[in-house]
Amino acid sequence: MKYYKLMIVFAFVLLTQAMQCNEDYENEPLYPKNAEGKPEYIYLNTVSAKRFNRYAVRNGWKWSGSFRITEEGNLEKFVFTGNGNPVEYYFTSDSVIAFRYYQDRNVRWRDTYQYDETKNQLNIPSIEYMQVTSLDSLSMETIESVEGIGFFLNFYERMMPFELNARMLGFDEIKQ
Amino acid sequence: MRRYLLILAYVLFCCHSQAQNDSLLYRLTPFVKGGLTIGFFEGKTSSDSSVGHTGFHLETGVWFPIHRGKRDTWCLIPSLRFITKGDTWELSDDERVFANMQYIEMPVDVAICFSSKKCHGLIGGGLYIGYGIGGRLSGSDNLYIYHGYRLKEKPAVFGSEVRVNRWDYGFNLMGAVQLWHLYLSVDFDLGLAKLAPSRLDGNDNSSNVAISLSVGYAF
Repeated sequence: MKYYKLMIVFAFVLLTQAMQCNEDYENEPLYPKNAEGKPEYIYLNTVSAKRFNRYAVRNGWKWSGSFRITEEGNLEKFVFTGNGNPVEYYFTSDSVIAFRYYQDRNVRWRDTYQYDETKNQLNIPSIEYMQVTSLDSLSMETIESVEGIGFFLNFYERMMPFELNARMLGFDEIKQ
Repeated sequence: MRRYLLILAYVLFCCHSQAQNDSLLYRLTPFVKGGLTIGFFEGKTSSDSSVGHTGFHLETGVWFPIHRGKRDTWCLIPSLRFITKGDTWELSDDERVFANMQYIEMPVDVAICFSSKKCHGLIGGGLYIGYGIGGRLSGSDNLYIYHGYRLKEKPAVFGSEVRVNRWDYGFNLMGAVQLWHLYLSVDFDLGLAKLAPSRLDGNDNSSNVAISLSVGYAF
């Protein structure tokens, strides 16, 4: 009889323990800092090199919007002013043409790039930090750093051919 | 130690001597069983399709007859088992993520046992409680990151990073067909515990579901 009661108490303790173990995950920031101190989307999936070559390469990507990533890893609205506008890109298999709007003129330059699929990271010497968070045939999302302002979640749309031609003709080419 | 061995020998002797003149289902019968387990997360809303996790289980327990009728017997079946559960998510044809979890579980079932001259059948159900003792999150070779988890580092499922709930409990349904000392059984576990954080599977309410096919031996 004593063992019977003990077993009931044991089962009750186990059940209450099991039911109390659910933690609250609702207030987690979406872009906490990773081991390298860079913000990273908590649902980030690998964008493979194969996928990058299939969708990003031989296409231009125009900027369509941004959010600033706060120190806590949350998103906030931000209006770019002055010369701090995001860069737009056109990728070939081994180089990238970057387009940038300045207040007095628009420029483009050619640079090399390497895509590291283990971190979704685009290593472009003239760009401080760029990580691809999602990519498909029409849209691309990245996390990029803008010097002096912080990290941004940037949204890009695939350029139409005439949009790319307009930038190639209208932006002044500079050497990096 | 010698005392426990003597007790074990006595229990086996009693079982064996009773077996001379009675059916296995009408007496206290220890059993062991093992086999294949197919597990998945129920209630998942992520767009990644689930293809299930194939694992195994080993279980030992006792059939306690608690009510004996003319053609049927009610049994209480407490047991202890080691079982692997989890899920596999398919992101594309060659990109898969594997959640592999190992549990120690204690199911307690009540079953009704039907008998004929040569074989017996059991149908029953009950509750189980389990505790996760280990497990890893991994992925196919070309997948490095899934929902922010670094798959090449194989993060511990119950660790501080993935944070799957170690405790699991729920309903257990079972059915078995017994022929002499051997039997085949099917178990269905429906977990009720909120299992995974939404970061892992895109849903706060997912729970463990497992279907087990076993081959067993009743002493």
